[in-house]
Amino acid sequence: MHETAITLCYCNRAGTLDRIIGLLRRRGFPIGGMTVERTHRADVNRMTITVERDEVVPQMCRHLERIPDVLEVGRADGTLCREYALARISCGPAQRSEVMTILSAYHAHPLAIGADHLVIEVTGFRDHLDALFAALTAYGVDDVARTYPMALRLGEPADDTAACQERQTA
Amino acid sequence: MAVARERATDWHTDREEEMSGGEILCRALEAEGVRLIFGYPGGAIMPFYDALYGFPGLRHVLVRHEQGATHAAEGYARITGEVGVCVGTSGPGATNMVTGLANAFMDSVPLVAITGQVARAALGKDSFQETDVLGLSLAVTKHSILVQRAEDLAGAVHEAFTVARSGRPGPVLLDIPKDVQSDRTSHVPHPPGRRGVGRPPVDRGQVEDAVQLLQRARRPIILAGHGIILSGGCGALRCLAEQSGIPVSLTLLGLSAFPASHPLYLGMPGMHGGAAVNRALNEADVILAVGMRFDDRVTGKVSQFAPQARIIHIDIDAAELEKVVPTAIAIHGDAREVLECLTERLPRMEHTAWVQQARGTTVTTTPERTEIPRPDDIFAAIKRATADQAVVVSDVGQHQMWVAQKYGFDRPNTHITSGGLGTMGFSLPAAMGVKLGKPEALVWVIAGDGGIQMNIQELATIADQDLDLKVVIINNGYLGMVRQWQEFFHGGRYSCTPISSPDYVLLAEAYGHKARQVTRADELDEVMRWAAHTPGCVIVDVVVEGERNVYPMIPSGASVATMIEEPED
Repeated sequence: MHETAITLCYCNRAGTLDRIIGLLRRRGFPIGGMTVERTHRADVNRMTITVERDEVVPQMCRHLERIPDVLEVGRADGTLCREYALARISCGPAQRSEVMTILSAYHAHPLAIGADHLVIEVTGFRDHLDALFAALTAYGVDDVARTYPMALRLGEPADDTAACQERQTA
Repeated sequence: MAVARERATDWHTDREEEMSGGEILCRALEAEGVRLIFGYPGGAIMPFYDALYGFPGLRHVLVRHEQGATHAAEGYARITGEVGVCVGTSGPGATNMVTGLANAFMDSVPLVAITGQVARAALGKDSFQETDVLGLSLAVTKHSILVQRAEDLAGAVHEAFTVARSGRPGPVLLDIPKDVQSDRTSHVPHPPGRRGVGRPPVDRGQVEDAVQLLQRARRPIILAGHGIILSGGCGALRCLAEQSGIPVSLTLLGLSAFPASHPLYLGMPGMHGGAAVNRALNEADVILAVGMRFDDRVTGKVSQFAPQARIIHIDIDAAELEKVVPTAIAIHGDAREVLECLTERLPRMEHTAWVQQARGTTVTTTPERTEIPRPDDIFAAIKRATADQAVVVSDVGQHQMWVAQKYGFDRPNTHITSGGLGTMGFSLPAAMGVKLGKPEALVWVIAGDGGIQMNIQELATIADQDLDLKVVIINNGYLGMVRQWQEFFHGGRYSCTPISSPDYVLLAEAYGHKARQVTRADELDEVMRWAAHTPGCVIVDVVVEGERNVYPMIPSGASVATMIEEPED
């Protein structure tokens, strides 16, 4: 299934997140998942929304742009999308070095080592994480917390400082 | 008044004063030019009402139900073009306003609704009269703001007004906890919200493409909506139509944007639109759709709507473009501006044969006079009694469609109704706002016997304010539109649609108004003249045939091919 990510910056005020999510639900846009990220500004948050059908993206962006607290919306460039995962892998001392070899091949790191398990973290494209977890299945992937993609758009950063201040002082 | 004006310009000075949140709110409203507020006090909004006591420049109209306040503010906004303001308390006060907010959202009406909220420390504790109004408002407002500090109040008010009137207008909710209204803080004067925000520059290239397409068109139609009235574009629409010779069809909310008596006028399209205009849309090769949103009541089955037409869609709300129908050219812009650009570039054209075909053959045989009043007779009598100068506020249902089809509006913004949401009970409170917004207007409510009973409590407000409103009830003893659907689509099983009415003459007298009942067509002229010449609020209860239908009708979700036309007797 082809997925597209769009990113959205918004002024972080009471109800804004509700309004964004409510709009996506109400109009039935096919959302795969979403992440909310901090930005360099305390009052601005970023959201990356994974959309399951690319053709709805323009209409969805136009609807999101109508929300006064939304500062900018746009299609994310695929190369700047990353997912992050924490996972607990079954792994006794005998298997540890094998697992560590796999982790290293995928640029994943152990965060905690227990008697019968490892907790790891990994960052990368969706396919990269899929491949890592496929390789670790043989040992036992007990639990995973994995974000949907977060993205940063290429090109000039949006100058949302003025817009947000204006919004707050109207 | 002088006091108000002086206060309204205070923000120019740098004077800082300590005042309560309620006073800051009043000052900010004055700075926005607000003169009229429709509202209803209650516990959580009391500090605002206390402050209001000291602001005689802000006239408060005490309604009898908060829904009435929202519709009255809508009526005011629609007749004046200004932002309507309504106020209520937390909990039930605010929930009662939700219908009006939804109505304003659907019909693009600029409103600022102010609700009291429980004090900050009580928020989230299921406190007395606490409701998550901000949460409730999300789906039915353009924007909502929970004001968390008194020092943010002035900014929030100005933001609310800016958003309400920018781009495609709409309702904004300001939810203000009680202690934010009573907190005292140093008030930094603040400039009022901006006007003219959200008008995208017109893309000249697209206008040129549209000109090319229109010049090649053999069977073009202009399909115009509420955006014409909102943008002040009635004159621009007429210029364009006359220059290009292209006939005009108006949506329900577009009615009165183009003179109904004009030789290029085709009528209203859609479910209860004229048979000829619907057939013409089916034949059209180019549709210039402007300030309208292809509502399902206009299109019917979208895949079969105007199958031969290439569509040029102009709207100030980019999210409306490509939302329902695919377009050949989508122009994001203000209706009036784009129409003016088009008129500048289009040569003078004529489409005489097409216009004749699109208008259809109107049978001008005078129908036999009947004893029972018919809608046509009622409207003709109103027009005669008012020298066709009335502003008509209609409710929702069969009578609304008859008004839309038959009344014939020639002057801009003289037809006000609830379109997108179809809110029964809209007309009476909305008419209060219309009358207060334009006191010199002859304001006539035309309502059904169902809808009039939905907000009838406002007759008391009308008495308080001594409003000169004429209320014509088209009384058929049914929830007529639902009954009609039951007749057509549910085998004539009139489930729960017969409805009784009070004695409207007695009722009117109880409220201090005048009223008469009419049962014969030949009394209409005399009674309507009496109503027009009797000062104050007058109710005319016209008893009509119970089972008259609105024709033609295209069943919901169907195409023009399935249109049901009036059977000939």
